[in-house]
Amino acid sequence: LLKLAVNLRHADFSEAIVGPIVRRTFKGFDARKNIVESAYVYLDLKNLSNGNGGHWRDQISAENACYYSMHDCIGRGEFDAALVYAEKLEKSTHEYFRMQGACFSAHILAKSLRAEAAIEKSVSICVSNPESVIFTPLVDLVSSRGFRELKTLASNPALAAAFYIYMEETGRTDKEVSLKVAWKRYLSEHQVDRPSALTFLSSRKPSLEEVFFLSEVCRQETMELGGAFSSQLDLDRERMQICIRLAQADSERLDVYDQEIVDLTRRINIEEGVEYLESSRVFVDEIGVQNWAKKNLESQFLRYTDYLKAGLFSSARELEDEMYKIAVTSKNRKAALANYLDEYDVSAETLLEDILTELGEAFLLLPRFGLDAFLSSRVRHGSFVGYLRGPLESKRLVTKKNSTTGKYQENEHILNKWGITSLKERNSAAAKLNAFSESIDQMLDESVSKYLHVRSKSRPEGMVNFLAERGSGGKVIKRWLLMLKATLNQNSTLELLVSHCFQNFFWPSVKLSLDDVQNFVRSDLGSRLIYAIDSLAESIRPTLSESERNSLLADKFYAKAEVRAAVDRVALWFDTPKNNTQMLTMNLQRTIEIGLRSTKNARPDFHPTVTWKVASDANIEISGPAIGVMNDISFLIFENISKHSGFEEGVPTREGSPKVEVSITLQGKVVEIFVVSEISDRKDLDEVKRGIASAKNKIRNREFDSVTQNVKGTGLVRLAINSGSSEGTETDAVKFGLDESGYFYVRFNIPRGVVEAVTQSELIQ
Amino acid sequence: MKRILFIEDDEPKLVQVLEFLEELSCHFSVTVAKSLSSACKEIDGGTFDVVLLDMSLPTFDGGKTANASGRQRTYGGKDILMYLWETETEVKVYVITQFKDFPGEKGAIDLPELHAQLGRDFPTLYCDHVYFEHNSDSWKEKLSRLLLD
Repeated sequence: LLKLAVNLRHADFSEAIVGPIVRRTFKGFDARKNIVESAYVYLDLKNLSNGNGGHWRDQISAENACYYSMHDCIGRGEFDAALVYAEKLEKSTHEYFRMQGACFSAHILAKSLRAEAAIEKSVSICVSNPESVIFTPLVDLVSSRGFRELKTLASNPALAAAFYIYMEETGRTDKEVSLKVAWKRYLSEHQVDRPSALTFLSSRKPSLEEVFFLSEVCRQETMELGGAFSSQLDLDRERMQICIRLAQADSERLDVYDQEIVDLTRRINIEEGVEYLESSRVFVDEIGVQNWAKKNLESQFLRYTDYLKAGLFSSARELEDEMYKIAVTSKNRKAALANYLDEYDVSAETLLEDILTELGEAFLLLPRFGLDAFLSSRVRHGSFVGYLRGPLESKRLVTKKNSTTGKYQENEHILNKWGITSLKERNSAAAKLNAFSESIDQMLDESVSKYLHVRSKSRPEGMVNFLAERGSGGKVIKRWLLMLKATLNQNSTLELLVSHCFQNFFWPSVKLSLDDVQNFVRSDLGSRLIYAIDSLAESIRPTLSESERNSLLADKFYAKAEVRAAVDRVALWFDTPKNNTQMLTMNLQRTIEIGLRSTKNARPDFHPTVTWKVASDANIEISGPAIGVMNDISFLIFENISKHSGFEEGVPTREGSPKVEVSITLQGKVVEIFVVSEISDRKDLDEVKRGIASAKNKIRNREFDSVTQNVKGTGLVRLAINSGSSEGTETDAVKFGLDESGYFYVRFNIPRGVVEAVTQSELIQ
Repeated sequence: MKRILFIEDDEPKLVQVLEFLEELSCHFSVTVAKSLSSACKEIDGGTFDVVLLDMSLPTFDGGKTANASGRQRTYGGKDILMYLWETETEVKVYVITQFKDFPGEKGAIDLPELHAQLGRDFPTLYCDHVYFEHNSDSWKEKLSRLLLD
């Protein structure tokens, strides 16, 4: 190695080669000096070979003479004098000597116990030439110090940079907190709480150290403990702002920042989309209900407004006058008013009452557009069970049923992990684990099949309904009717009526039952899941040795924590929709990626390798509720792949993941999505074919309503519903099947509702 | 009034310990932080006499989505001790944990080993630990002894 180093001493890259060799062969920079010296002798060989006689040292270059003098001083322990020579070298026109001067300055400062200055110097060398870190004393200096010892550098970006470089160079994490504190203190010294707010960015060109601090140090992992951020999304947004500022301040690396901005935009978009979709999964398609009302209720509504015009009803004014009279004259005003309204004869308003009743039913139960349809596609179909079963699956505490035997697979992973070896105990524990899987599935299936429905004759235990059906008799409809009467006039439109009822009657009324569903998920179901985990652990614990018990307790602890977090997240799905999310806009590919993320959240073993072929003119912008529709479609596609491609059967492995290709193209004026996915060799192709035939049959026979009520084996039919097949007579809006290579494919056009939403937003722009 | 910062993300344990602290003395003022991030905010903004510290902590308080709470740090409690050290915060720290062992680079570290390690690494901060169990009250005795001493 030494010979190699000497032979290469003249090369431009010798510095980078010598260092690692020295680190392998010698310790400390004094030993390294010999090799470096020989390099300079070689450089000055030309001078020496001129053969003017005299001592060779008199004939060498001024830089080399300075270099030797520096070493003489170091040898005598005269560090201040050595530093003067080193600084002279730093001013040389020769890059070698400049670098040597800088590195020796850092070492001499360190030797003379000026650690802060040595660190500052080392960082300065590293930011201009990152490979030089091994020629500086930085790692040694930082390894024995934290922020506390170096706090005089708090206002200098070099301190956080030093910790960062140390961690990068050594791969160690022992300075992680020091780095975060240094980063935080640097910001507070500059009176800001986020790097993008640093004022020098807009007033002057930042130094190399400042650019390094922003571009390398200010990454999401470093900023985690910053007081201004409370989620991963906040960190991504801040990093985005930093990159935008850097793109202006450090234009030489514009390409790098641009690429990071593109990546961050994608991540932020997806995270915002997921947050939007997970903040509430309760939805009613108001436009869809309006269109339905136009077809089915308009004649009744026009008759009502005609009667209004003809003065056939007592006017709202008369009603108000009577109520005013009661309010003024009655002793018990509240009771008298309530009594008056309860006894008020609405028979003349039957028309309006019928409209209101039918509209209320449509809000709750209208296929595809009503609340129950969205509960079906966004909650009952896969997501609810997946999200709550997911944490237990990822901890391998539950197994799946074998598709042939219908029995739960033996949980060998946990039996081995908990060290249960004796046959008798293993059989007993295996039975308990299987019973646990079964009880979890029963709880979740019961919730989905009984409670998470709109209450109806066929679903009497459904938890979602209007307050009117929960003890107030028909009087709520009557109250709505009276309120509506006071609102409507001769010029009112049906659209206005629908919107008014949604906002003022239906959502507030259904919210009460949704609150009950949230309580049910958090308190009832959540407690039962936690109890089941505790019971399993308690029943197996006595058979384990002390160390294995700890493994069981750790599994129990983490499983419970994750189940609780999942229960809290799922409960949020039953919040009423937020209006501000109407503003969210993203491209089509992103909405499909969000669906992919949702599927991965619901099915932790799903790790597809997805390739994208997206034509730029087909990647249309999607806004507001249409994002939800696309997410539903995307979720159905990926969930279908996850469930039926056969890659998650048996023991899950990351390697065995399906390859999926998604193409988005423009066919004439229509955006077409084409998805092809691989099927595992383990999967029985005849079973896949039977599933495809059954789905096609259901679509052909238009069995759309029954699918809303069912949970299993309905993905492709739901996809047909979401793609618009249930609206018209066309039954082949979605094409799917197996291609010649045995790959599953599905091809469909973007549904009309989504395209209309796009057109509307274009019109607004 | 003794000012206590209780850093804990596990809700049932949090509830039990808080109830016990309430029973124990009316002279405790307890602030709760459920993640590393919010614990650091509290440390930056307030003064405390005692920190009750859980070992495993998420980076952020729970959020609406699966990834919102960031990384779960097995040794998040150690990070808090380091943060207290680096920011020169003078406070007594008691670790309160329901685990008897923790994953380490060279195999599992049991509670006595962790206790010794924390005592070595943070002699001015770390005072003692309490082993918490839901199905036993023995932790209460030790915790009350530590807090009332």
